This record gives sequence, C-alpha cells and structure tokens, in this order.
Amino acid sequence: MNALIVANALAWVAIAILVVAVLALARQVGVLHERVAPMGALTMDHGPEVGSAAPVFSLTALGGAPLAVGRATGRPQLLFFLSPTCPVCKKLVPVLRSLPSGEAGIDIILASDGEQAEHLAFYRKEKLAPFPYVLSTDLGMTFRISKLPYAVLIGPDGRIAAKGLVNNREQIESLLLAQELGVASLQEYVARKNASSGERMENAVV
Amino acid sequence: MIATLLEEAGTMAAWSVRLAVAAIFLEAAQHALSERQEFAGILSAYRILPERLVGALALLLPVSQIAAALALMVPRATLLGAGLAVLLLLLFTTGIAVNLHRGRTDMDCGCGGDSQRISPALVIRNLVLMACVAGTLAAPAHVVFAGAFTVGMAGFAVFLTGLYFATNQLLGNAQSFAAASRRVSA
Repeated sequence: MNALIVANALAWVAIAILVVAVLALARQVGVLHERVAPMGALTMDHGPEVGSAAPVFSLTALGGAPLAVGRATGRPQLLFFLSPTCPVCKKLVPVLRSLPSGEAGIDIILASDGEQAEHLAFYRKEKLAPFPYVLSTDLGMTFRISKLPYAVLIGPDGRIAAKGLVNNREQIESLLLAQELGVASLQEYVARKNASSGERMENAVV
Repeated sequence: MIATLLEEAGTMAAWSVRLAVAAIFLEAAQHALSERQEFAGILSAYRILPERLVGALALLLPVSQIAAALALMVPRATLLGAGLAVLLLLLFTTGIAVNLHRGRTDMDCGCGGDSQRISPALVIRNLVLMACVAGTLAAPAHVVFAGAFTVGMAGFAVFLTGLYFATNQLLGNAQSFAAASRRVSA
C-alpha cells in the first residue's frame, strides 16, 4: 500500500513538472509575440507622413477657447488622442503631466471625439484642466487614428516629428527621443542601426 | 466497491477544484489590487455601473475574491466559498457577455495576468469554471486528510491550476497572434 502511495506521489510530481513546462512554453510563445512586435511607439503606415507638414486645424477647446493645431508656433506640440473609456489613456495622464511644459517645454493637446457632455465629465473627473482638450472627428480622421492612446509630435516648424501608438511612459519618451535623433520612429532607428552594422538579420518589424 | 471508489474520487476531485479555484482567484485579486487604478479604469470601461461605484468596486471585487478563496479552503466554509465564487464568476461573465453583445471586442477583460481582450472564449472559460465550482457542492467537504487522499488531491489541484493558466496564456497568445497576422496583411 505504501509503495502505491509513493508511486502515485511520484506520478503527480511528474505531472506537475509537465504542467509547469507547458505553462512556460505557452508563456514563451507569448513573449515571442511581444518581441516580434515593433519596439518603441508603434507607427502605423497611415495618415500624414513623418517629416511632412502637419495639417492645420482651427478648433475650439472644451471651455470655448480657440486652438490652432499643427501651425508652426516655434514650440513642439504633442497631440495625444484618448478616450474616456480607454484605461491605458488614463494611466498615461500622469506621464503627460510630468513632461516639461514651461518655456522650453511642449504644448500638450488632448484630442478625442464624441459627445461633449461625456468628455466634459471626463475632463473634470480626471482634472485635465492644464491641457486644452479638443473634440474633432476630422482631426482623428486626418491622422487616421485607429488605436488609442495615439500620440503625434509636431515640431516647432509645424512638421510632424514623430507619431505612434503609445502604451507606456517609455513609448511616449521614445517619441520625444525619436525627434531628437531625427528619425521617424524607434523602429526606423533600429532598422538603420542594423543596416549600418551590416547585420543580415531580417528586420521582423512590419 | 465501485460506488465507494466513485464517491472517493468525487470527494478528491471536489477538493482539488476548490484549491485550484482558490489559487486562480487569489492570483486575479492580487493583480487587481496591485494595479488598482488600472483595474478601476477597466471596470468603468465595461460601462455597466455608474461611475461613482467604480472606485469602491475596484476594491470590493478583489477583496470578495480573496474571501471566496479562503472560504473555499476551509472545510466548514466551503459551501459559502463556492456560493460566493459562483456569484462573482456570474458577475464577471455577465459583464463580458453584455459587452460582447454590444459588439465591443476591443476591450480589456481585466481578468488578471497579462491583458486579454474580451471574447466568447472567456465566457466559455468562466462557464466551465462555474460548472466545476457548482459540481463541488455535490461532494462532502468533511474528509480525513491523510495519505493517498492528500497526495491525489494536491496533485490534481496543481494540475488543474496549471491547466487553467496554460489555457489562459494560450487564449491570450491566440489573440496577439491574430493581431500580428492582421498587421502583416495590412
């Protein structure tokens, strides 16, 4: 009887090890998907290209103040597309607050579309008052925003400096960094680096 | 003879299910509590409850999950634990089903672990979980934990827990794989 129990226990240990192995394999497949996915802020090949002049919009912010988007103002503008129902967007609001906003800073503009009442409630609840908030379907359509949160960085000269889907602080910072480095996106930076070092590694970034 | 064996198997399986569901609930609760703000955001994205309740619920749900998990593991309280667990699973599943019915699939499930979008597969997963927990109600909770029973119960519990997390991971992988394929073809 004791031998049976011991044999049984051993069998369960073996099963437990196999289950852990299956779990680890499944996890690795998941991690692999993430690795293959583009790094940095994801740029989708849609909408006005990086380097081209940004389309200019004259909009009205929540609260009624007029707001020009895309004009060369001598200061970089960060258009941050968000929605009240997107949890990641809310998570990134503190990151936006932490970006330099003073004289040498960035003008941050929040953009969305939909019913004004819903957005006003969101604007008050999340205390977004430091940022102008515009509702414009046109703006989103022009930049071909299909996923949120999406950020577009417009340079002081009114040209699009960088843009992409942003899910965390690093990706927002990658946009600012991309602008400093003079590349359209971190993917392009990685691609250039790979090309210049002569690696024949195929770039899986699509 | 066979009847006794089946009864014993049922008791053993029921305890394994209780432990596995407790582990699953504890993991989800831990995740929800450590990312409370994000969890609240996900809850409000479900667009079912008034905004005012979301903050409180973001705390109440994981705490209830912990309570259910603990109750499931105490022989005297398994009934209570199973009832609470089924109720919570019913709430989550209704939330997912309502939003799927509204045609919203591009929404975080908030199930704990890696983010996963809501899908019919999650509804089925939760129904299976509910059926398992409900099944434990038919088995006696009072047993003598000794020898082979404990070995079998613990082993099967580890197996079930692993099976759940592996299934969950594979469901998530399938989603990211589908998204990657869309990117390639776009």
